[in-house]
Amino acid sequence: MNKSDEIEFDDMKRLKSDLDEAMDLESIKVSEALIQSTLNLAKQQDINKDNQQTTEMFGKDKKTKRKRLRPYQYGMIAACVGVIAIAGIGIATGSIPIEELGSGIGSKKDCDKVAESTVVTDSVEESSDCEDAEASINTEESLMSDSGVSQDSSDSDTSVADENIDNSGFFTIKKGEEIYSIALEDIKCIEVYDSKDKVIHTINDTQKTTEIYECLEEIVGDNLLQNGEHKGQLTRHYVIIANDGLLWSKLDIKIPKMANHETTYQIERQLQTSEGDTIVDIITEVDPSIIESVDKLTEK
Amino acid sequence: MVVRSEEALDLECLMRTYGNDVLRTAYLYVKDIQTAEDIFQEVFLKVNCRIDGFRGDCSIKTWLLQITINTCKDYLKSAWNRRVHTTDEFQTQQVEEKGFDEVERKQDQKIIKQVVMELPDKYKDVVLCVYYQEMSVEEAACALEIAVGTVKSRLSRARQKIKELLERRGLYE
Repeated sequence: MNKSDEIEFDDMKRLKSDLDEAMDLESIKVSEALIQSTLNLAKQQDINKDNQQTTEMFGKDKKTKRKRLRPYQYGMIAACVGVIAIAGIGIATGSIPIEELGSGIGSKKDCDKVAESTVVTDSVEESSDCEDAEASINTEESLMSDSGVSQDSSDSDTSVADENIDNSGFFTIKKGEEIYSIALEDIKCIEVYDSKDKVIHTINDTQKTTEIYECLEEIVGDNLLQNGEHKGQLTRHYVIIANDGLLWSKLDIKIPKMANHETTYQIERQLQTSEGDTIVDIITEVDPSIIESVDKLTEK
Repeated sequence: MVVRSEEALDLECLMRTYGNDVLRTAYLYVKDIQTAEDIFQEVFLKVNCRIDGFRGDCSIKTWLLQITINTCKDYLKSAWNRRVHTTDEFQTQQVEEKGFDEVERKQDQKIIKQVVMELPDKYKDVVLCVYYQEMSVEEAACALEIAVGTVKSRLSRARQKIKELLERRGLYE
């Protein structure tokens, strides 16, 4: 056996003693002081741990207490209940327009249709889920219809809603007692503006004006927000100029860019009267197909 | 004296029984007695925290050395240690010996020490566990948290490397 082999079978076995001796490991021993200081540190650690646990327990108690109490949450819940109750009463009495409620009950269009059918046919046969919901909302309205009371009745509670909702169509604009109607023959021309509010071109052609008029006439003026202002980038702007000698001088139609999450357009309608007054409102939920048709017709 | 797992794990008892092993193992890794003592304290403070968590999967000594090795590795990896100048020499007071044979013997031991310490960490770990701490392969595997087969293969490779290094230095020619 040569010396190399001995390394494996003999010297490796003596590695411990060699290392001990080479590094003087035998002299390295744990002192009593080291043990005592470590024990003191351990005791301190235990005390800290106990304190921490106590603090945590205390914290938990506090949390539990907070969970139980939370008076502000009760307040918030009470406030929410109050708002919902007021809104409910408002809807029931018709002081809040249904259109402002969003699509909570069902699709607005469906509900509008149902509302129309309820008023026109006054029938219970066509009832649906949406109709049921709408029926409760329009209870008072239906009762009034049954009793032959006109919706225009000035002493009715619904008069507030009537002020906000204009069912007369796109070319009929009301302000208080005054009604401004825009007839096709009243239109002198239509100006088409770009997004920088510069006139691109003016439409004088009668046929084209008629087509645009008919197209815009399809816009239902049900979803009307009075004194509303458009939000977002303006992409389309048309101005209908009136012939001379009328109650109105021009009608601005401003269409902001439709947001990504939206599926319908909003149109800002701004009528300038011959007396210099301006009536501004916004029609919501305008079918994009109408806007696309107007786009095509107003192309240069 | 051996502390049995079924006995109460008293910290003082553990320190008195396995303290030297912990301190020397730490010293082998960090090469500085002051740092080794700091690591000793850290190890036993960790033990004090985790003493209830000892499951008895391995011996208490193996468990302690596992914590020691991991603590040493954490220290060596720490940013503080990287900023501190370390020396390859073990900083202990060597007793001066007289006589040519004694000097030669010391020189040989120094070479062996250097060879072992120059081994890559993974080989040095198994060598120190198995040959220095006299652990079984299974215990070394538990302490180093590696497979038994890995311990065996690393041990074999470590032996080969030690042999090569010693031959290169002419110690066993």
